[in-house]
Amino acid sequence: MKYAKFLLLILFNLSSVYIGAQSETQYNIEYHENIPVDTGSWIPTLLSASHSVLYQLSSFAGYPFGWIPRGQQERTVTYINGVNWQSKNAGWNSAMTYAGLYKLFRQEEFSEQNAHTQNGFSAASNINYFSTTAIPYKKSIQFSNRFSNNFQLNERLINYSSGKLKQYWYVHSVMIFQNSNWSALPIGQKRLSGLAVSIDRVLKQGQKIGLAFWWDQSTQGRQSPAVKEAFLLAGNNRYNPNWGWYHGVAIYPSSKENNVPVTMLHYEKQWNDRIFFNSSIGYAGGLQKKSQLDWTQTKDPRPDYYKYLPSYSHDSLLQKTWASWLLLNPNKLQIEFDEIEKINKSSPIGKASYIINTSIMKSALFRGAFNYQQFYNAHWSWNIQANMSIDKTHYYNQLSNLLGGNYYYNYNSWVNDDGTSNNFENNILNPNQKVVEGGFWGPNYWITNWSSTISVQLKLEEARFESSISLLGNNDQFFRQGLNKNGLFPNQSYGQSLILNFNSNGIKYAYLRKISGRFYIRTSLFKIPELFNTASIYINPNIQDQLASFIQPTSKQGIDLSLIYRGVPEKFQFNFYWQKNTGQFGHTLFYHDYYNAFVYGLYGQMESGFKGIEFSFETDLFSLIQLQATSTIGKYTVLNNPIYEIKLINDLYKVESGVLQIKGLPAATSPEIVQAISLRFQPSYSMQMGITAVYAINRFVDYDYFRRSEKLLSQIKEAKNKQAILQVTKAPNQLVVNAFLSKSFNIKLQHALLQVRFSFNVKNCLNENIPVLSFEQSRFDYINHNPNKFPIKYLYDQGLMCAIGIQFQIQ
Amino acid sequence: MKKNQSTPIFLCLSFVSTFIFISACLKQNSYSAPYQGTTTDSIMTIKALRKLHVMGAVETIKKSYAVQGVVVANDESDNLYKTISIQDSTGGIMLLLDATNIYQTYPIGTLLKLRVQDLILSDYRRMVQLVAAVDTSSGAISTAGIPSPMFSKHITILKENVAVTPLSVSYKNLSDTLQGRLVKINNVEFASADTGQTFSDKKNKIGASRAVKFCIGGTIYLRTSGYANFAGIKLPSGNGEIVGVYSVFNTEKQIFIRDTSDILLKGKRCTGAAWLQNLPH
Repeated sequence: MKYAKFLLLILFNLSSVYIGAQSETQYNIEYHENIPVDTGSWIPTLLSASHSVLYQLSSFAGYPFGWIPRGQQERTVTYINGVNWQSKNAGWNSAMTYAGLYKLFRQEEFSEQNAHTQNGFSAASNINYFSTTAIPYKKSIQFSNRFSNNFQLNERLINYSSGKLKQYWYVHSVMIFQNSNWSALPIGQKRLSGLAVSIDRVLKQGQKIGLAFWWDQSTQGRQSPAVKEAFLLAGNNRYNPNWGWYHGVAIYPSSKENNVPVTMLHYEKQWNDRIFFNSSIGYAGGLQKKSQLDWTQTKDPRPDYYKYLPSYSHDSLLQKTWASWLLLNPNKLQIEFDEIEKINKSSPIGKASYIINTSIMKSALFRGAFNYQQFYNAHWSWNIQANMSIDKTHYYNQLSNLLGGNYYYNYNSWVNDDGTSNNFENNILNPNQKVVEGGFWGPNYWITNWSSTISVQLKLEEARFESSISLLGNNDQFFRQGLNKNGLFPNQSYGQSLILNFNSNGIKYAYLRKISGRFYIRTSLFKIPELFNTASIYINPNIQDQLASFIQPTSKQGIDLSLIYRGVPEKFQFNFYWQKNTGQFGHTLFYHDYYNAFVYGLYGQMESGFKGIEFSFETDLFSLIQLQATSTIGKYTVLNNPIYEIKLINDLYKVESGVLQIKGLPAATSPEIVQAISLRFQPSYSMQMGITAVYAINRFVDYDYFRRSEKLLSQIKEAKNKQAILQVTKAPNQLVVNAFLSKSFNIKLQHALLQVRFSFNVKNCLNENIPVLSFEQSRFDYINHNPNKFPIKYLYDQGLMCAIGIQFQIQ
Repeated sequence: MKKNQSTPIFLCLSFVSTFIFISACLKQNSYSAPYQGTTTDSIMTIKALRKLHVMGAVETIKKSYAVQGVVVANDESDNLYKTISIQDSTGGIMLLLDATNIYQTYPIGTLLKLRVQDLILSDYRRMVQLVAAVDTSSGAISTAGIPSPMFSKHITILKENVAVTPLSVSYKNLSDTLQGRLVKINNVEFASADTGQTFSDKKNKIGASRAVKFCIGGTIYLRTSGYANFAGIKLPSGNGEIVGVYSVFNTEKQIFIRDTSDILLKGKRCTGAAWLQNLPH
């Protein structure tokens, strides 16, 4: 009773304090603590129990550097009960549907030796396999909270597990509430309430059935990258140009919302030791929204617009006065909503020049997946996996705030650099429509994607080797259903488009040789497709159904060779990899100063190469300290000079085409050389501490290809000026150090056990100024070819970040 | 047993220390409220300000002077670009602002207080103007207006919708002291050769000067930008009055209008001796 009162008192106090959530760290802990007990049935191999040191260090400690092993672009792919909830319909963010609900999921380890992954390689791919099973959890209830200096979030998390109930029912549930004050975070705000429940039942004859449901309702602000000059003027790396003052209150017009409940049913059956079957079906339906400031025929409201920064002036005296003024008036580096309201109100006809617009995606996603595996005898086995999905997404806009105006016209306006614009009707069937607050306007269309993937694997296991071959086939169909007939493309914007049909296939071969009980050699050869999505195939589905140029199958082919030593406690792994991507294409929309208009830049037939070596090592020192280290050296480059064209946005008229001179340009932003080390000290069962250091070398920015066209470079006479455009920009070599400490106490209650656990995490202990994102702007000075007119934009890591967590668990 | 008793105390201490840590660790909100400056500038007249300028020179104003004036022309019709014209009872002046759609912030009739310290007096073809930057690196003088983020450093809106009555002037009274002022010229008409023309070349975005004849003799040129939203409208052929801002281009006397409502040429054209006086000698 005494302890119960004490617990209640603490919980009461916790509800009113600010805390921070570091889910990555939590994943890390989960990864170590939860040894999969229910996963062996999928793809067992000689090395199925291994985990990748490289993967762990890159995922959790390498984040500030954007360290993705082998320079692969796909950061993380997540499978939940065998289903990938990411959609090929542009804009959908599956991670938002389960943010904060990580306690529902158990991370499972699969050998990727045979699986077809996005990256093709058999190891070090950033792929999460999660299960929602409630069966492994003991009966317990858990309350946790965390505090942080940067993430000023108030989070309350309750996690309940029933353990085994009557008739082999199991329930596992999570509730989470997060809240932050406006302006406490660089992103402005975060509010989240989530619920997740998993119910499983073990049936007779080796069967299991389960239902999982999760539902996050969240709203959070968005941060925008800015040029270095803006960060210097703001005096800190938390600068975010995406907010401003409105009647003395800070408001954030840029935000994203999620309200998508997800339901999954899964079923497993094990006939005997040799035949396994499992399947899942799921449905996700709801809204994801993004809001932002929009404007037409008025001055640009963005405070970091290049004309609003001192470097825009050629007069050094004015530059100084200007910079001093901004240093004294930091509000001038934020959006001036009072000014915006004044302008909106000053219109004699009540027409708003500025609005806050919300782009809405209303999605219905159906998923199905099954896996059948059979061991024919002690050596031969095969399995077949299939995934099917139907994604239907409705895209439209809602006017959220008129900012003092009376209405907004349902026009689309490409505002030029001088504030003028070309207008066209978004809906000529309802011309000159005046949109009021809450009204719908702008693009209005559906995109539907039908996708099916099937893969078959055949495997031979002998005492000294394993060998497998895997084939994959994929079919994707897309079509667009336009609900508006716009004035610019009346025939291409309205009604159903042609159904686009894409077929892809891949093959993968893997071989593992057991040299001794501890030494292995593993290799895999692969040729896999890059699957199509709406962002790449449609040039701009907001206004028409026209396709982008240079669409062709993109394939990734390569080899992965590993030497593995698995001793006790020493383990090491040496990898060599080589990969070539062919047929790459893409497009971007930007303002072209030479044509004085918005244009699409499209490129295709690009090839890129990724090669390198990796070394990972782990051991125990004095039986107390676990040491993990990895060292990687890679080279990621564009292998050829791809073709390109520039098309005007208003009529898709091709104004330019030719070759891009980008051969040899870095093809990835991930650092090419990384050294990482992790020390984990566990003096007792209840206490552990650790430190991780990652040193990154050769980090390149994301390059703009179109300024490197043969045509433009040929116009530049001076070699010095040409070199200024061709040069590659690197971020400085940097070190990030993270540390953690955790301590738990067990208190015996009358009928239960209370476990109290404290944790203390410090990220970026050295408070390094690390750009997590850096890119060349797509806008370039196409008239005078000055590369500094539109300089590189950055988004910085938050620097030193401390977090304290406290968790109570009653078992 | 002893261990069990000490555990809650430890927990309490940990909890308290956690709070202390957090309160020390949490960053203060780094966003300050908008800055509201105060100024103690000496008010001077626009006439006095203009006197500080010597034609062909540039003068940076070092002292903390301010002028008050009403906006009489802006970029609403795109006849002016990145410029407004302000005037008080003593004179007018062109003020360059490095922004577009200025009319939304400073509509006609807005009474401003303009702090001129650090601004520069210059002239373009003898038309006096206030600018924020001068660049002579190319050999010629190029000027730039006040950057948009610095508007509030130099400009304070005192009042809106202030009515300004244009000053009626005759041809013989047109002089540089009227630069930048809203004036009204009476008994005028476009030269017969121009009456079939448009205000300027809208298609090619080329500005034009159209001769406006005083019935009693004398010519002033109506200057219109090729970007003006009325550039493609045909000139009226009648006689009457024109309201506009007086300007010069070297020795040429010019006037520009805010929009076509500034032109009231509905009367009969001049005849007889008065017209003859307008013929070129």
